[in-house]
Amino acid sequence: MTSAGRVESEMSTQVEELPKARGTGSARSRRLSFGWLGLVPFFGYVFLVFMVPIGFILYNAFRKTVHGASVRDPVTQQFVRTDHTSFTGSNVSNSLKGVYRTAVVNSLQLSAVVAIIGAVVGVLLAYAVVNSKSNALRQIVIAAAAVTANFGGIPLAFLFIATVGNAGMVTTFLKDHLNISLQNDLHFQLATTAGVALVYLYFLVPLMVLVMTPALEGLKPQWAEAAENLGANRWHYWRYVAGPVLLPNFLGSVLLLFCSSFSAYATAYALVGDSFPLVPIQISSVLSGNVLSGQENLGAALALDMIVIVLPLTVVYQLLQRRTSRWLA
Amino acid sequence: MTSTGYGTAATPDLLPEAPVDQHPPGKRRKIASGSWPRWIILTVAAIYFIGPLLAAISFTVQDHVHGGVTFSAYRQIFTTPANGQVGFTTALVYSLEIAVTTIVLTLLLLLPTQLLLHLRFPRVRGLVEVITLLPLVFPPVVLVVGVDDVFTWVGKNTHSPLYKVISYIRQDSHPYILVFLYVILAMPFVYRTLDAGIRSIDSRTLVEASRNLGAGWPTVLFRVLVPCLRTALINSAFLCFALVMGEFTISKILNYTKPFPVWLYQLPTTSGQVQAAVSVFSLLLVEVLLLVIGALNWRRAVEKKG
Amino acid sequence: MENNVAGRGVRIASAALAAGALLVSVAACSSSKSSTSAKSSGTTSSAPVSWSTAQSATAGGGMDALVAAAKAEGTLNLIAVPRTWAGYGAIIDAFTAKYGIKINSENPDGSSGDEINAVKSTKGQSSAPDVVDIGNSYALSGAQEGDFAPYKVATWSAIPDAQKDAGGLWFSDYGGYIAIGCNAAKVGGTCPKTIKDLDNPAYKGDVALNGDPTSANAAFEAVWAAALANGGSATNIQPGIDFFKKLNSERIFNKTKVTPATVQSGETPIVLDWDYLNLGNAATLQKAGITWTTAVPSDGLVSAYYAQAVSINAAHPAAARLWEEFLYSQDTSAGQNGWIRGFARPIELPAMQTAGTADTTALAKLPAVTDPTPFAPTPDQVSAAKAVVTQKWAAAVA
Repeated sequence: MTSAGRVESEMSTQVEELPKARGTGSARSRRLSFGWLGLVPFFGYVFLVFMVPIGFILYNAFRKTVHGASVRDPVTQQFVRTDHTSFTGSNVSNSLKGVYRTAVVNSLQLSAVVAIIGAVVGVLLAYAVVNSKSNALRQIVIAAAAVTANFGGIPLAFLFIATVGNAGMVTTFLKDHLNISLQNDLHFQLATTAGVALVYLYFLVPLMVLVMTPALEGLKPQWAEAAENLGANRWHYWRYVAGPVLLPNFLGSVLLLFCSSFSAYATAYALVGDSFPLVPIQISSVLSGNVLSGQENLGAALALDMIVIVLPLTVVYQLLQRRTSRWLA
Repeated sequence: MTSTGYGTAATPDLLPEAPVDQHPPGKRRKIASGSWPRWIILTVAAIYFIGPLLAAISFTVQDHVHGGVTFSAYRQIFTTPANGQVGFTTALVYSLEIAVTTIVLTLLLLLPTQLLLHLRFPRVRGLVEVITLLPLVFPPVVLVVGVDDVFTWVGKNTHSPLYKVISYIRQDSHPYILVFLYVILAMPFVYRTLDAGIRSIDSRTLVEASRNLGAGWPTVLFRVLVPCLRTALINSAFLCFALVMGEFTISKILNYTKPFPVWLYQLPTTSGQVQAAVSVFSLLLVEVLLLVIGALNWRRAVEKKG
Repeated sequence: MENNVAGRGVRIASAALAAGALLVSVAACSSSKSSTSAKSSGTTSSAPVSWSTAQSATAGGGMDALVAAAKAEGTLNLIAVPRTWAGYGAIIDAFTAKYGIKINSENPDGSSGDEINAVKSTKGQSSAPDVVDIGNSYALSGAQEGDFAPYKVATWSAIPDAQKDAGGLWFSDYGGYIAIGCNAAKVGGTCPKTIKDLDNPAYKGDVALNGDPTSANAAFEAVWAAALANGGSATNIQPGIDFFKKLNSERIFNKTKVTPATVQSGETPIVLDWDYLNLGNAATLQKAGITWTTAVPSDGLVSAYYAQAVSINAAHPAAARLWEEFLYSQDTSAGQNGWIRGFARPIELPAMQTAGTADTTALAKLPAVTDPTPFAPTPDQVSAAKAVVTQKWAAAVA
């Protein structure tokens, strides 16, 4: 390319690249339409792989199939029957009865308890770390938290089974050396809701630490100084200055922990098995066929229950997130 | 390892760069600190978090027959299980293949899209961000119910081409359905990571400058943008990797037996030692990898500053 | 000259679409190709394909043709068949030794539900299960849903009418009684012999079920045995739930998941399970120095048969049918006697005892049970009981 040609192409490039360039109408619309095409893979993918299954859930949760009489075909020996499918609310109502009701209540209780305990412990831990003199402690804890927040699942469950399970190290130590039975005397068993809660904290507390550390560090020391100068003691500082600033972040994190533990499956499954009254476990139990006939879409109804619980909380979480950036930026 | 992945939502950078502490510790004064409660909290936390790991390690080396220490549980990891399952390496490689495919597909899908959004459609970013958060609202347990319903519906007509496609991607030897679903699960975290990366490098200027110098689009992408986004890309790849290697819910409910977490769960064990040994082994592996990547990030940050 | 990001996006999008289209067309081509090749081999060598619709050995061309076709297929896919379950290990080895057909045993610890799921979801794949061994209720629902191919084994007449589908869609194979397995050393010396014996403070924390009654067949039947011992019947399973509620409140009931580990360590020293499983475990435990006794409770006699069925989507239809013939053959080394050696009662036992083909040595090791009125709930009664357990169990043993 000649230098003249290069200059020309440079100039035309610049003209085209300016965001509000007014090119010819057809060139501009051609460019825009090709641009939208570039977004098609993403939106198409999300629609196909995500929206379609969710759509099926929302639809099937309200569908019921009633089986007609079966007639045997004399040649193939197979049964032929006419099924009648209709809309119904019975799936959803059944999903809130009996063992499923127990599961929903249990899941809500478990999630609420671990969310609050995890949030409080996490905040205290973050606070302890943020205020320490040594930078190294802070780095270590943050790094460790980043790692443990991504634990969870099957390996974590087995770690705890090896520790406080029925044949775990702590259990046998207590029984052999101190004659204390973890199950009978301390009334703790790993394969219960309490045990699941204990294990959930292992990845929820680090999550809280990771979320609250930047927030706590965002508290400017000038505020503390100003408060002290105005005669506030520590309680007043927290009650009127730091607390309200941190509150949206804190509440948002509680919701995050709640949703996280409400939808968790692997850890609980490994600890308590496939019939325990927790919603994700019941969903998998239903999907593997443990349903009575006529209740085939109970899984979809249970999934719908989960969506109805988690969706509003996520919306509130998003709203709280928008509020946090104001003071702590 | 990742039971829900919410942890990665909070940490777009797995290990944050060594931050410059703008409020050096000395300046935090009495009004906001106190030392002995802090040490109690830290000690309790240390016991709770490190204790199970140590207990599990000592559990796995217990010798029930002779007393004392034995590493037979760790040796047994690599023997073929008695119940007909595949071996440790087969399961690990199976998950690794899925992980690599997921990483490639996720980056292929998200990087160009996000660049396009950033450079050309900044107002659509909000919508896309909301979309990428949807997988957090509809967790894997819910998503798999929908997928199962799709399978049932497609299965009603076994002669349709759609059935053939679905059957193909469901096959145990090449479970593309898992890859497709994992891309969705990884989206929130990879989106945030790449977004942070793209924002931090002023891509608009880079693109304009390189275009002005006569670069073609492949050059712009692969020789200008990707190297600048290397940290974000590596972090995203690792997020995907951790997600896939630890994903149990979808693979279990869809009845796959070879992915590593499902394999680990179904491992027959007379005393629980072998399962605990594999758990310790895989957790330490992940920790080491994370620290290595963190160290690499740290060093690059230090180099950048210095 | 389209020098913009959008243009780049277009090229990526079209490349992706092209790749996707290629993938789909490859998939379509490969699957149609495999069916054509099957058809062509079918017409030349009298019929692997026709075996998928043959409803008996004679209808397909005779036993020799069946054996030849099965050997040509060379493989059999089993699912959810543990080697230690009712002597299956020896039966599998005998089959392979006799016909040279390799057996792939997938997901040995799977449940009946897993088997049906696999049948439905793996059509056209080489790993699709060929036959299933499932609980009775699953056999009934699977027949309704068209999961099975009809097939009547050579010894069809030796199977009682009530224990098979009239069209050959499923047929009972073996069964046993709910029994109380016990490690005397860990429970203070005396093992419980009846259901009522379980309600004893000496057995605190000792009594476990093999699974959860809402999902595991053996545990469900054990609850029914408890019901019968406490005034229940085929129409009333509630007393069983109440009994376990009582055991739970007295901390006798142990909700730990029963595994070989928990049995060996003494964590679950009393397990209610099928007698053939308890007896099978006893042999293994003997090697670990543990004496495991099995007692069939006289106050709660619950027996049930499992059922065989040939999958409608079987990957190896001839091998599947040959396997069924092998299982129902009364030869010394074949299935029926193999099940006796696995401590189970095969469905053809009465006929075998009359014909003198039963392995009497092995038979002698089975617990002697006097069961004048066998427990035989109708399918509707089973469904009703299942409904009650599904609704009430979790709350009862919370």
